[in-house]
Amino acid sequence: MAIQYADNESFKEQIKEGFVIVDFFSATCVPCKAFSRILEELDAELPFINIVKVNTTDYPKLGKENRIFGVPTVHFYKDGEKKFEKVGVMEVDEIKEKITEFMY
Amino acid sequence: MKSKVLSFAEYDQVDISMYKQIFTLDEKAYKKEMDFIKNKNSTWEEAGEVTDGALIVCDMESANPFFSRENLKIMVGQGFFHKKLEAMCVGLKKGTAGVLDVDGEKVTVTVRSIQQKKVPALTDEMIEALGIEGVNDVEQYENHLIREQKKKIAENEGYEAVQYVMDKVFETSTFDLKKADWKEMTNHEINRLKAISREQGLNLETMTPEDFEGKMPFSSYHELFASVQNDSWDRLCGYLLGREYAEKDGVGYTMEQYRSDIEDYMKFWHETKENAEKINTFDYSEITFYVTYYYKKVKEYVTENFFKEEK
Repeated sequence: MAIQYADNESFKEQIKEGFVIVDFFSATCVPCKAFSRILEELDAELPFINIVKVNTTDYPKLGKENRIFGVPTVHFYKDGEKKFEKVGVMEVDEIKEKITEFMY
Repeated sequence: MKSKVLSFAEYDQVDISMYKQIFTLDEKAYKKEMDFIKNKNSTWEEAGEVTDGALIVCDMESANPFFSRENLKIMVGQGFFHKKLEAMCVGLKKGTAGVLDVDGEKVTVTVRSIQQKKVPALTDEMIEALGIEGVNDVEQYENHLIREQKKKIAENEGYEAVQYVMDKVFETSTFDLKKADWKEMTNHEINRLKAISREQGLNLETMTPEDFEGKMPFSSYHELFASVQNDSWDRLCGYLLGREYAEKDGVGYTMEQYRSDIEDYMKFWHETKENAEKINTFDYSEITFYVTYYYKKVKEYVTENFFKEEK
């Protein structure tokens, strides 16, 4: 599963089924770039994980609706329900722990 | 400004051998980069038997609801679902049911599909697809990774060497420095700090130690002023040298560059254009451009020469 980008219309559809990691980011944020690379590594290693990226600069409405106060912020969803959220960069091992906790 | 450089020492003639380090490759970071490209180019192929690392889809039946599922996708060996069960799945054949004893629970697993990851060897095509300038094959990429590691270490640990080179150049150069320019240099910085403080509802000149706390490492305006004034002397020298090198390189600070800097500042700090321009006047930005121009030159020299030659 390639990393997908969300917009105002697609977001709800993209998180409603299965286990999804959502990365809220902005184009000018430096830590977001580091986190983006971490997600790319995760995607290359575990291609069955759904990753959705939300550019809060382009889609401020999604940022507001999801109460994003800082970027990067990562949300973990299971069948549309938010299970966990964190503001800041997460390392691969930390993300894997959350996958173990919430995926099944 | 009327100050000028009368003669100056070249930064790349300053000996930095006492700061040089022996480079040791970070094997783990190097392998991580290589694996990333291989993983990105890996393919999944149908297999007949479950092996460690396989991606399987299976049905499970058990009295325990956790082990009673349909079309469950598991990456065997990662432990995301159940480490013990995943290990027991190794060896199961596609389309057949296996009865497993997982900690006393009877679980019947029927494997519907098995996909095995095929990791390719690195090829020049994979490297070319990365689009890194001047890096077109595996050997060049290996060298690129080593260069990047060296650069990162030098940038993180070369600060003292950069300061040393700049101090040495200032010491051995001859400047005609005017007091009025030193004052101007100080005022530009102070006025900028005043504008930032105003934005935060503070008056720089009357700020208390508590107001300074967490914002600037000073306890009074006078302490701050003395520090800025002291730094402005070197800043003036750096500015003059930056101008020399920029002129030699045929570059200069333009209004177009200023507009672009203001836009960047507005985006980064979420500021209005009016405030961004009050905080960063054209004169201040121009000075910063030349000071930074010189600093970058020195930094580049240190970064490129930070490691001892391998024998």
